[in-house]
Amino acid sequence: MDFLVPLLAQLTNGLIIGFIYALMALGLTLIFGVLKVINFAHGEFYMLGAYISYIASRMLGLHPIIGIIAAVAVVFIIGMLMEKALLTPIYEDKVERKDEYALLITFGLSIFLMNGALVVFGPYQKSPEPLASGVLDLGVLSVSSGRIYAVVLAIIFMAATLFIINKTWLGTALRALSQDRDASTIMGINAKTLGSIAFGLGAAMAGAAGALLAPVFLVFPIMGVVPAIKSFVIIILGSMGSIKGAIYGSLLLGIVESLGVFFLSPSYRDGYSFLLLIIILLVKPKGLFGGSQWNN
Amino acid sequence: MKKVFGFMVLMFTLVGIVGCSAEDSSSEGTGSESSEEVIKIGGIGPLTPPGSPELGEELQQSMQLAIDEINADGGVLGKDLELYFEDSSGAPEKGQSAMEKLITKENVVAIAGEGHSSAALAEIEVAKRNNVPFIVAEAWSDAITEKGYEQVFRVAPNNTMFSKRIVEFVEEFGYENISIIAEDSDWGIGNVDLLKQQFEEKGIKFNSTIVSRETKDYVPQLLELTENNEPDLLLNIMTGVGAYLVVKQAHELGISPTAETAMFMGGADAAYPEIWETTGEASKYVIWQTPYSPKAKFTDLTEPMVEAFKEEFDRNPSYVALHGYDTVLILADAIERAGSTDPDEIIAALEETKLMGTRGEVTFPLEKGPDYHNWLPDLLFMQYTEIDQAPDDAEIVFPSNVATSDIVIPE
Repeated sequence: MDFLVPLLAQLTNGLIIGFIYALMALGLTLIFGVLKVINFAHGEFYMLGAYISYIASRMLGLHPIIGIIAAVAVVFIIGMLMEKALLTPIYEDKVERKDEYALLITFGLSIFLMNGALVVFGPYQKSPEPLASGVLDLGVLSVSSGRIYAVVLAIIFMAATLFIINKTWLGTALRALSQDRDASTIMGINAKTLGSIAFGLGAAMAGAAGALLAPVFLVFPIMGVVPAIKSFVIIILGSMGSIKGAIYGSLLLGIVESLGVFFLSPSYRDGYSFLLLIIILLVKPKGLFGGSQWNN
Repeated sequence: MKKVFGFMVLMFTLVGIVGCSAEDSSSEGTGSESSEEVIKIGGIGPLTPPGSPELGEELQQSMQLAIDEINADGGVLGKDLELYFEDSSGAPEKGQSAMEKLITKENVVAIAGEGHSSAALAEIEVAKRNNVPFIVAEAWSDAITEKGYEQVFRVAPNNTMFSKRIVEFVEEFGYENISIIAEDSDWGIGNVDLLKQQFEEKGIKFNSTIVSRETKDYVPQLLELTENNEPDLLLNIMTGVGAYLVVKQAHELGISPTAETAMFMGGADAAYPEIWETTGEASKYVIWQTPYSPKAKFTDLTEPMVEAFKEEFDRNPSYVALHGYDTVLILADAIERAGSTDPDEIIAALEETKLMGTRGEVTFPLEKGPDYHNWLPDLLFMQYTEIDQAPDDAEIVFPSNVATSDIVIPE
């Protein structure tokens, strides 16, 4: 038992973190799937979501849940507008190297948003009003209620996204786009509008993760950098653009990290995800759900 | 319509860029006056990540405050002082180029600042190579002064002093089982090594873990430290976000601060007002260190400086600001006594410093070792006893000659 309890405690914590990674990774993979664009500003949408929930709950005095909803809505709109303003040249054949253009422009956007937050909010750490205080005893581990709420809401957000993708007309159109942009345009799908919506949805998921985690991991301008890197690792190991890959990849990452912490050393925790990535890429170069796209 | 929108975004971007660059140039001073009319003082510190921007900002603000006050008083050698502050990002390579810029482009006569040891260690090399006096304001690594460069001075504690005082504290209160969680910086790792050495010598039981500053979930490490082990003191040797998150997560796990396990926070962040918004009730009973508290009377300069800082920047200064402020007073005094801005003469004058600063009478010892050219301020151990308590209202628990209260143990 002396051995089992600490292991279970580490695993529980790993799974909790994994679910939260999943929300962010799902947004990133959605954007890649539909637009074939790697969104380097994903971490900054996470940061924007956190700041919006902070403004709503601390500055405007609204209920924290309204802060989270506001964060999702506002980041969705910002995401759509950014896509329209910055990524349109790709589809209008105005740029020669489309992939490089998208890479550079989202990278620039990331730096701009980070420094913008530094100018507007200053470097100090903030925290929105938490949804709940206190801790919940799970037997092997006592977990803050904040984390539990974050996980539950993250699962709800993910379920809503999966529902939209699999069961609605919008989702069908998005899946069609991800498979063949030209063919679906011929079939009457408005690729430009749907592209914006997909980008907005992906950004909103990062925003939701940011708003949910803001009271747990605090709000500051560079908060998005590490979660964004984790998301990249997850979608690469789960196959870029694969939804299943994003979800399973996140949980796998959470579990591997906690096993590494338990059996090896907690000091190298962030290294284990990269070790896992290297191994998976060596064994399955296309990722865990290699090649397959949206229908899985 | 689409074009108009794209244009608007472009304009916003441009406004953003212009806004940023305008701010840059103001922070570097006007630069239009000729070097004959002003004495240029260089400032350096982290204004952007991976360094701690709040630390750099406080250094810049407090140095500017001291310069404004000195100028209002007639300046130095009949000339005004002017501050040229450069961003080091707390990173060695950026710190080095910032130093080069201050020395070769701005032609400053002396430099002060920096709050990260890894950056400071790179910067002292530039100061030595170019023979420019450099007072380190807030970086604690022993090596900075131990190298024995005659250009390099320091007004902050060094690691040896910090860890010695922690061990004194541990012995005074009879703690017997210590856990250490420390960040992977020169400051964090350096302190763990020094603490280990002293705990081993004294036969005090301990375990320790080094964590990445990038991580935000310290639950695994905290669980590991307390696995089949109940320490009576947890040393949180972290800065910035990490320092707050360790407090918050240790509290959530029910590890510390509790009746069984006290928590000591090593970073300056314990004294920032953000601590209550970010950690809430978790910081009640946390013990932390600071070279300054209004409850401990240091000198007649302390209170006016604190009031002026609050007036100017609408924020309570932490001790970083006192360090930054003092560096300028010390430089101004040395230049005045040297009667020139020649580096060798300023260095000679600095070595003879005997000046009342905001925390005591500053002198620079000349014996080689970690304390060479290093004026060591007092270190106070404080404890928060109420939620939302202002750092100034916290009780001093150690050292006993200035203590205002015993350590309060949670129920």
